[in-house]
Amino acid sequence: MASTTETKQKKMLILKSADNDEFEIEESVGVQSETIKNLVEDGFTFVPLPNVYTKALIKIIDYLKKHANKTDSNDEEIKTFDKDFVNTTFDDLFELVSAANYLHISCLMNMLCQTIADRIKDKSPEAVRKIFHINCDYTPEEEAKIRKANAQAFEGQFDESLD
Amino acid sequence: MERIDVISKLPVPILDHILSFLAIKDAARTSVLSKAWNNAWTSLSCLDFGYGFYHVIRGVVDQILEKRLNQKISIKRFKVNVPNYVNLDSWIKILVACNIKELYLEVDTTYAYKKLPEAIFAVKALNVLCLCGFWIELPSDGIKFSSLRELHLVESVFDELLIQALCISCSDLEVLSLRGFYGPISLQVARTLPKLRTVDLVACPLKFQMVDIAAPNMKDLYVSSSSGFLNVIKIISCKTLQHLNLHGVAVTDQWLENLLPHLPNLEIFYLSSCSLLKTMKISSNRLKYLKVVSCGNLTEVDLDTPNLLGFSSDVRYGKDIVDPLPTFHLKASRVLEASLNLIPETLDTNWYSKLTRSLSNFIHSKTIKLCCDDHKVLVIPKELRESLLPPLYDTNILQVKLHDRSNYSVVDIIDSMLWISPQLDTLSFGHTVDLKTLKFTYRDAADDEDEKPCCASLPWKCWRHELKKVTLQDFTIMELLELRNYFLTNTDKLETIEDPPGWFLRTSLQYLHT
Repeated sequence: MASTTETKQKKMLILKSADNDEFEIEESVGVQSETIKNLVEDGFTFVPLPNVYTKALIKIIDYLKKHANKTDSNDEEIKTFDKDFVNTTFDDLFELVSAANYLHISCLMNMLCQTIADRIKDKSPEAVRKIFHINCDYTPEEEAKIRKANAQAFEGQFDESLD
Repeated sequence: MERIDVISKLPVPILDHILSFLAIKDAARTSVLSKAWNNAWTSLSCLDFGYGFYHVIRGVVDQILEKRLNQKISIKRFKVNVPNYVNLDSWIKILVACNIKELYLEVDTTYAYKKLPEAIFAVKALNVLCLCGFWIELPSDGIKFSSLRELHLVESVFDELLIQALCISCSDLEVLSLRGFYGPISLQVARTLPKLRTVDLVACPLKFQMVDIAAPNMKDLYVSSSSGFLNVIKIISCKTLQHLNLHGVAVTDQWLENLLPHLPNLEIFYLSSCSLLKTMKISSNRLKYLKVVSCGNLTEVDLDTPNLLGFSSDVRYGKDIVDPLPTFHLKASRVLEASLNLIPETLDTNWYSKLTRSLSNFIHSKTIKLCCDDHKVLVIPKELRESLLPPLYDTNILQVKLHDRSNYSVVDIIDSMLWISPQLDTLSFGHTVDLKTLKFTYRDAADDEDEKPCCASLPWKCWRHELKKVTLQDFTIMELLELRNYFLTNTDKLETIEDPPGWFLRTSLQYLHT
């Protein structure tokens, strides 16, 4: 069965980023995104992505291509690829997570959110704020109130390191 | 300059998704980060109370559930581990009202199993149910689940009627996993579950006798029994099965022979502790991975599997181990990777000859992995090498893993491995985490001018006369010195020995030449 589809011309899609760059990819690669899949099922071959910028789209296409070629034997290779993929700046991670959310790529979404969550795990709120550059928009009174409402969560020792 | 707070500007569903990977205490602490995070926390849909009974005792679970109920927030996932005495009824009531999708309940079973509240069976929208430590009875009102996709029952007591009723009502079931259960003596799944993909029956109890599954789309089946008496497995109508793993099951030659033609899609087949099996004949174009371990009565293995990529097995030897080496016929992929676990009780001449014969079964495999406790298992005595033929002269990559961390001589191992496999490109060995690697480069044919081959009687190139370059990685300085001497003494065309990235040898070789 695989051989008959291979001999046919591969179906291609064009993805257009928010900054108007166009990328041609195989349909089978693109449909790992639920959003793209729905459009393809409605007959689209040109897919504008107004919420995804070129920089993130290039990385995501890389990811989709790698994962489209998943077999039993390249498990390790994909793991290494994934590890490198998330090893980037937080600004890039947040850009990617928004894009993955918009494109509905659940395995990528899980991997990115897990990566971010791992940096929050066991940390003190002060450390998390510094790691992610979070601006605290509470007044000291408001903050004290929130702490009190979730008092149990603040009992014990937490990791203050920023790594 | 103040950096822009990008993360707090992410939409709540994304923050919710991030928090869903955290245990409740970590998630609750994010409430204090900023207002956006507090919003995400108060509406968090995945509540994982983790291990430890702390939250339960302090009433934290009740408090958080009440809040969700009052604000009409739906709960996607609820995960808790509780002591046996906790009353679950009020929680389940709230969870039902909050439209729970994935429920994970675990109770401590030190003293007794806990009776499962019947109210759970009324949660229509449930997708995933995972119960551990419960006594589960068929509810008087029947089972209302209509969208259950995954059912995991662990360390629990129930009977066949319950499973039958579940199989009838949960027509969307994809995963059925029963681990360490008590009660049923059989599992029968008729054709009522078209979506069933995975069945795990792990640590089946002594009385459990029969598995009979007719799931037209099943992909994975794992059955493990500690008794070894589980002898009826009927799966011939599961034609889509790709992955079959049987442990401690009384499979017979006849059963295997009858089964395999019915499973044309089987790609991964693992058999362990199946002591009734005597002959194993497999003919398949699809099979990619095969593992046969602790099947001590096997006398014949015949594999016509041209696409086999991985084969693993064990080689045992000892005074009480009668098993002769099975006769072995193998037709596999060119890139087959064979892994052998070597388990001799004593090391004598017979062991080394058994080892050599076992290895020679994989003469055409490019990659071999060997695993053993002690390096002596692999160091074939020099006097024996005279009377035996190197078993793996066609192998390019050899990896040896040693469990024992005690000292060993790298030269002894390398010398023996190069006898076993005289044309290696890569040899790596060591403990599971820190492997030391040697890479070999040989002379080209073009380098051969009019010199006559050194060991013309042998069908393989002899590394002693052909080796041009050795690269050593991750060795200690003492080992590097020993290996340098070894290779300088035992080769005659060697041009380079290097040890990147340290380049210790380059320095020392320079000294040697000056």
